[in-house]
Amino acid sequence: MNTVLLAVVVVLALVLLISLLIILSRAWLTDRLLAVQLLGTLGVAILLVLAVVMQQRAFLDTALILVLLAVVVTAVFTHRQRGGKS
Amino acid sequence: MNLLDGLWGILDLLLVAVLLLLAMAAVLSSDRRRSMMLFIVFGLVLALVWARLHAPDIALAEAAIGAGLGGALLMATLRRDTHQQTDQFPQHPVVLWGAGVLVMVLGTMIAWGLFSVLPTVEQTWRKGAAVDAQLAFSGVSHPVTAVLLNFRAWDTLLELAVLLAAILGIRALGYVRSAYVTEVAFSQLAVWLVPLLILMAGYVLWAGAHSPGGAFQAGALLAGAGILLRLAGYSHAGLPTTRWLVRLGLVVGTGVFLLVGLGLLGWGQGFLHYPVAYAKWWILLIEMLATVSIGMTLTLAFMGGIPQKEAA
Repeated sequence: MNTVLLAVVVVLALVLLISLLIILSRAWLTDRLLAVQLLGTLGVAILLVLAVVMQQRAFLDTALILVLLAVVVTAVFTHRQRGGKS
Repeated sequence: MNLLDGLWGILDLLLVAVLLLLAMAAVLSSDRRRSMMLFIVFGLVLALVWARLHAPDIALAEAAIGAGLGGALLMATLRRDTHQQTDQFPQHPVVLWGAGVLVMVLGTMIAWGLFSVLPTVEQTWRKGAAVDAQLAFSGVSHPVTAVLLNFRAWDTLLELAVLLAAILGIRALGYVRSAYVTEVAFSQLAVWLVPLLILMAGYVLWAGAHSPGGAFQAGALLAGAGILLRLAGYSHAGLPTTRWLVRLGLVVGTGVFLLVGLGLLGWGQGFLHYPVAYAKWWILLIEMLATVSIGMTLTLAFMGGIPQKEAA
């Protein structure tokens, strides 16, 4: 069971690497923002499966914090893009 | 069993490759916004690496402060300046070569330091055992919190003092500029997310007693709520509008920590040597107030100065 889950983590990490390469090749900010969001989701997925494989409940909290604060970061970023003033 | 080891090996290699790629791309990029986004993702991947290294406490702190709040603060600094899109990093060859030599020297020193530390890793494990042996007298059941708030409480007090010094510097810069225009999308987002962030902050703070968590992570989550409120058009970002309440909030974490330490000194104990029976409650009080201070400090750091009404 653990072997299968670990294989899943490896595949997710591989997708992480590939999407990073795609981000680095894109010029558009919107593309990159979406790709960064994708990386965030992948990171959360990896943490969730790792929580089961490594039997660490705290990784669930880490994933939850990542999800919540990723929204804040995206909000700050998009606000900037629309010419918001501070 | 061999397959399992192989999979862990592949995972480690992939994470290292992603981390190195991100670091290089973030440093080499000439566009600051791009560098910043890559740096945020770097924080995220670093949190994964800490998790892989069986360090859930650092993973949690990295996710909350490094990837989450650090990113929002970095972007706030970009917003201050409208000319930043076009300006370039210094191109003068002397500057570039000087920086290169400096990085090489620093890198060599860090590598040398790491190699000299490696033989003492076993000693560190023994220190961990010493913490476990004393855990029953700390007032909490999580060894990291016991170290941060009891055995090495000095360090945490000084960290809070650094944060206080930083916000004093930011406030010296002047007033916060005019508030954001209210946007429906952001106010809806705030309605959903702010209660969740506050709830999560309370949970992370409480969890710190027996599992990874604590004041800094909880404070970062509170600041996340403050930043969202600010984006949603609340000019005070949920902070008190009265001047002295804001000041009190900023100081209370460091202040009460210090007062408790001095009080115990006057009581005939050592500085910050809590009596075993009450240790839990002192630690809880200090952590709660520190969370308030950290949350307010980081929110004000995002706003970048003294709120207008408070100044009036």
